[in-house]
Amino acid sequence: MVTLGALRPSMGAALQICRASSTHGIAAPARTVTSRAAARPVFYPSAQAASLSTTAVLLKRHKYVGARVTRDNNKQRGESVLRRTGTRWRLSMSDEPLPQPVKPEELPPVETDPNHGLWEFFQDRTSIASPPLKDAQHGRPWTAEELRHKSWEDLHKLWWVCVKEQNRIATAKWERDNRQLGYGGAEAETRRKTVLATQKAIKHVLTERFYAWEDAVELAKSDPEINLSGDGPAFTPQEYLEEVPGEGAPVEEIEAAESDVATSPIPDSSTPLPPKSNAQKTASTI
Amino acid sequence: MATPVATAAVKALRPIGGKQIFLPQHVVKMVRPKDNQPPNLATFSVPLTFNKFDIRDYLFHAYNVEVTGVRSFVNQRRLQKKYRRLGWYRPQAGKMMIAELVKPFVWPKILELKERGDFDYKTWFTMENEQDKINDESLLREKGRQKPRDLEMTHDILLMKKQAKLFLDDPASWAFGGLRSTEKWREVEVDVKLDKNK
Repeated sequence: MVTLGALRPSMGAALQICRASSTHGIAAPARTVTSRAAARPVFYPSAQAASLSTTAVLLKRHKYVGARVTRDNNKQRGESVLRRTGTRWRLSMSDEPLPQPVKPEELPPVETDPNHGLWEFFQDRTSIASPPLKDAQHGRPWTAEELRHKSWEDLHKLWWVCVKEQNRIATAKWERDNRQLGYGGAEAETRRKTVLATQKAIKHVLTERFYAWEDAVELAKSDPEINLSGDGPAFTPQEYLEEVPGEGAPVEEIEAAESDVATSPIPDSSTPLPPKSNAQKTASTI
Repeated sequence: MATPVATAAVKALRPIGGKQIFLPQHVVKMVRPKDNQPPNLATFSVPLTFNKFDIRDYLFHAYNVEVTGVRSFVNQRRLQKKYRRLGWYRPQAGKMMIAELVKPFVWPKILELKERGDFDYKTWFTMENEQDKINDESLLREKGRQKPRDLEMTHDILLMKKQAKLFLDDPASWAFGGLRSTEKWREVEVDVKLDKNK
């Protein structure tokens, strides 16, 4: 039993066929696929001119009237892109108005997000390279002594600040050289050297910590309180420290070495995610 | 344990690598695009060791810029002469990458000549031209190929040039004695008979 709901799509298609056949005057033998009993009371058969397969009728494509019968049966014979003949066939979109090309200058300007990440490659948002007087306004590099008091996270963040600053300087140099902005190369070079000195100090401090950690491991091998085998707790403190007269210094040394172990860098627990900083912040910190 | 990088990779809509790199020393510079390059493409000059995945992850983690695709190419440098021209060598090639951005980025316009006052453009330009001239001359002098026409025009040279032109235009005007060929020769030394009686 065919319900009204099931009929709806086929009715729509049939309506389209009626319209298409009336406009184009294509006559075709009437034949319905769906239940004739249900379709007949609504409209039939005067307007029905095509099959219910809607594809063939809706397409405006038909055989070109004056088409030659070529020996090779090539449908595209005579069509040429170079001579702009167009198709010999009427296409489904032939009546549609084609969009006209617009010149790039007439298009609306593309808006750049003011928070776009790529702005961080620029020292200055208008001139790319900052003027030499402004470029020279920076402090001294971080010293190793200052960095010894910093944690691994801090050092890693500072490293990424340096990396981004170097990228900024390199981008500005490219722009200054290729667009011939003028002076500023010497100031930029001084700035770059300052950044490099900071990076060198960071590596210096990390190397120091690595050596301290190596020494601490050597010491721990002979320490009865420390178990390096991996079984059980690593550190088992004794009940009291034996005070040996005249041997206070070595104990302090050991303690100092242990404290270094606690602050030594362990790379696998860290993050390479850089800090979210901008040029102004960088200029003030470096 | 999920590292922060791996967490970020999960968050990103597009595939992102999870490899951790510590203390990188790469220098990545952004380069002004060519004319008519669409704003969704950004050009970078990267180290030769970089690959397309590297720049994608680098931009995402360091600059929070998402990239849908990357094109890369290597620019071979021209052959250059060594110092004192003792042989040829080729500088190291440079790698460039063009990233297809999710968010378009339009570069600011090139600074006008008037706007380059902070860079002291006028002085720079004059000095640069002078330096180029000096370099060219010294190059010619080293080769021993400096010709008179490459020399700077002094007042004397200009005067001689003027006289030479005069001669070439009308050689006859410079005939012997400054006489034109059309005029007849005149005897300069004439026997003068002196009156002895006087």
